Amino acid sequence: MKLSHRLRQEFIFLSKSRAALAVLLTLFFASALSVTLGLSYVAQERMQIAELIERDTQERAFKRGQAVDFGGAAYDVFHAAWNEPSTLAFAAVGQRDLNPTMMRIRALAIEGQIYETDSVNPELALAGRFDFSFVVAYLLPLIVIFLFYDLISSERESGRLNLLTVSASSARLLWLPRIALRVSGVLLAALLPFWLGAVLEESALGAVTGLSLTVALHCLLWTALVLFIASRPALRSESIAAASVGCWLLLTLVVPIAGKTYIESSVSGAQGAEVALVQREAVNGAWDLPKVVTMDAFYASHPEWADSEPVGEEWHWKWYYAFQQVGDETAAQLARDYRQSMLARDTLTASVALLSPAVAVQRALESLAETNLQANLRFEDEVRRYHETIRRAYYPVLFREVPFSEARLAQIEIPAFDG
Amino acid sequence: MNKVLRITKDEIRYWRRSQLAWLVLLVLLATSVVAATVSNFESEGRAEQRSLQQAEADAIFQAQPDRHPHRMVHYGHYVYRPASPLAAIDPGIDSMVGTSIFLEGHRRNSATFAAAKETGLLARFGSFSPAFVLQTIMPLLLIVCGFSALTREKESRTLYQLIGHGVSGRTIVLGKFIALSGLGVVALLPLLVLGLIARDSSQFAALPSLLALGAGYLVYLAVWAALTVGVSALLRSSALSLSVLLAVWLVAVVITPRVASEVALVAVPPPSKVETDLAIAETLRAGGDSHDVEDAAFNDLRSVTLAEYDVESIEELPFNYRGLVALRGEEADTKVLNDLAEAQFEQELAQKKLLEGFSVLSPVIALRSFSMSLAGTALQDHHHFLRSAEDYRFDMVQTFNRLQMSQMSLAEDLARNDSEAAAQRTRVSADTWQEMPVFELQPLTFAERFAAAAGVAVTLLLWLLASASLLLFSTRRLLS
Repeated sequence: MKLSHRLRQEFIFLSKSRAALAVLLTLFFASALSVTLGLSYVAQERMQIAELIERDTQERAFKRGQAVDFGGAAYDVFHAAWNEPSTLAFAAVGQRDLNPTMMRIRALAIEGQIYETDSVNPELALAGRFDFSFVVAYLLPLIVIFLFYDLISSERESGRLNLLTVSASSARLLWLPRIALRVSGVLLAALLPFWLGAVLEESALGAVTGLSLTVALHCLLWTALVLFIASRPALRSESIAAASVGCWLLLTLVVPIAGKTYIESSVSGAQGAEVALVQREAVNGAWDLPKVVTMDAFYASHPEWADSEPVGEEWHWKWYYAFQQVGDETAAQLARDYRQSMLARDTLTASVALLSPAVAVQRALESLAETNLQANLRFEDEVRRYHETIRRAYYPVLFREVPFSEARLAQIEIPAFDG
Repeated sequence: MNKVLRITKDEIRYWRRSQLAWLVLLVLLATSVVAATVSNFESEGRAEQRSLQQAEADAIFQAQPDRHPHRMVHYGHYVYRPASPLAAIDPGIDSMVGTSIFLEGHRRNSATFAAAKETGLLARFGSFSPAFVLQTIMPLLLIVCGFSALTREKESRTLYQLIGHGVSGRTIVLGKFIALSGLGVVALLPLLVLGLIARDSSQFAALPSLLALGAGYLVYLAVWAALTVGVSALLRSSALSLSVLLAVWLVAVVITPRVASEVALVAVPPPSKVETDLAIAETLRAGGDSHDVEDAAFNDLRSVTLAEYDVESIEELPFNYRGLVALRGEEADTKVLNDLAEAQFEQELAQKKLLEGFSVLSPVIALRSFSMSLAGTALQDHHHFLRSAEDYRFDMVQTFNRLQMSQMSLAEDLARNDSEAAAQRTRVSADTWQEMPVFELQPLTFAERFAAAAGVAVTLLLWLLASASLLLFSTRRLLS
């Protein structure tokens, strides 16, 4: 018997199995629904970003028009920063929903601005998302279980097994075409809608290939696991199904939650609230210090302005922006620790991923879609750099004490955010 | 009734004989104990951490030196969201929402530093708690124990013997249902234990909440027991019964809540924070800058005040007019901010309503909402915290503004930057900060929480009715 002949046989066999077709169709529709929802989510984000840029430009022009001094302009004028969704974000929304995708930044201390978040409906966040990565991580294994749990035992229970092993020239030719066909069916059902989405989003071919391979790997892993259980001769179909679903429950629900519990108790680390508190103390404390102390601290990190005219007892904008910066510098170490503790949790999550394919596949997808923690921290870095551009743009007029004029203000050009 | 109980006993005997039942009991025991212990440990830890943070923030606030009151308006204060006494049973939204808010003048800041954001990916898989075990795992265990309750008897033809002996179909089905529900009752024990050791307050009323929670979970598990036995009575083979029940579990527990959440997001799209901020900026602009007494927005206030005190200029007023402008400005700003915040709460509640609408497709949606509401870890509890924090902020800021009004003259206030001595004249004694009340969140009362859960409680009862009908229907079709 030729392989092509066996494949054709199996194809006819599969196309006559209504139950198998029904599950494959279910997977296809679930995948299509998740891709549609994902596409509409990123479309909505892009629309909000476009709207933000437009309204922010108007608001900035208005505020600049009202300015009567440079310090006041820097205080009142916000600058938009945004985290554009990648062309694969529709497949794995990841951590984007709890993290801000848009911010408005001004020249004040960044630590007081960067932790503000979008208001998220917590009950919706708790229910979780129905995105493509969910379909792959949760549903795909169950479909695989359904298609494979009685692959061998049904033949045995119906008494055909012996006949089949005798008539097929080799065991490989008997089972492999059947398995290959079903695996291809699962992959096509899951990936077709995703590929269509990727075409619409014009995603990069490399990333799409990487994501498709990840999905294929996940599918093969589960096929191997289920076939391993299914090939135990002592087990009946029901027991194989129960054991496979038990594995799914353990690997998809129990291990990740246990991992989460372990991580949260082992990495307490720096608290975000602590950073905010320290920053506020430093910024507000400056009012009670002699102004020269703040200025000296500022000049230590910004020696290029050290020859600026000394400040007296009275209020001065350059002192105001100096203590904002000194506040950031005071909290900088703590902010780094806070970040480090999030990265430490992420490293531990990677170890949990070794024990749970669901975690592993979601991590891989979020990484390819740039919706993971790292991508979010990269955005945070960009915002910090942009903040530096903004504050430094005002330093020449503030520290050289240039007299205010609208013409001079118009010369302070702050480039638009580019992420 | 005796016959029914005999069937129940037989079913339990069957579980004891088959290894599967031991496995199920072991899993139930292990998950319940681990979940209860871990959840209690975690929620105690959170509660302790936040009360420590609150104490630290209070201490720092009270230790502030003599200050100009408006400095205190900008200095602000931090408040932390206390954990609910029953969060150990159902942590609900706790990890999804920010834990602290910075309170200051002119602004209404968001609650920041949500635990889920810090933990990342794994937080999305849920957390170990009795609620998780009862909502997600327990239905599965009921299915595993009960899928073959009647198909088994059909396959081995013992069902026909029983009926031949004059036992009615109804008796058999009811007996099996009672056995399975009994398993559900056992699963409720950890809930009771945790509830009894919870830190209670008369306002919160943990005991009635606990009773209501227990009743809700009992109804939920009875629904699953009835569905399981009903399906087993309707179908011919155990394999088919297991597949159907697993599919039902998957759709009801894993898929539907997520689809519902997405639908709610699409149907009621939330505005982004930036959008809200811009809207606020535009509205507040009309209200004027309350730091500037010359701002045209306060012209009316000036003429009215001057007329009321029958004086010619603001310098002649018996109080510091700048304080009054700050007071009225804050009042107007707060009204704008509150209206926007309330509109946002409304919108979130509309999303929640939509989500709850899907509970006709999945009992777990009804139960989750019911459970969070009674445990004090639902959306409305978070809104309550935000409102309370806002009230506290407003009172605090207005206290400072009144101090600015009464403790210095306008001339002194305007001259405060001239010299150290002039600045000293505008400072208010540090004792004032120590005497200000600290933030104490009064949780929603039992009645309020129960009222929020009433809608889904009805849905849950409808589910009980529907599954009971299925059970009755299946007894009639038992032999066909």
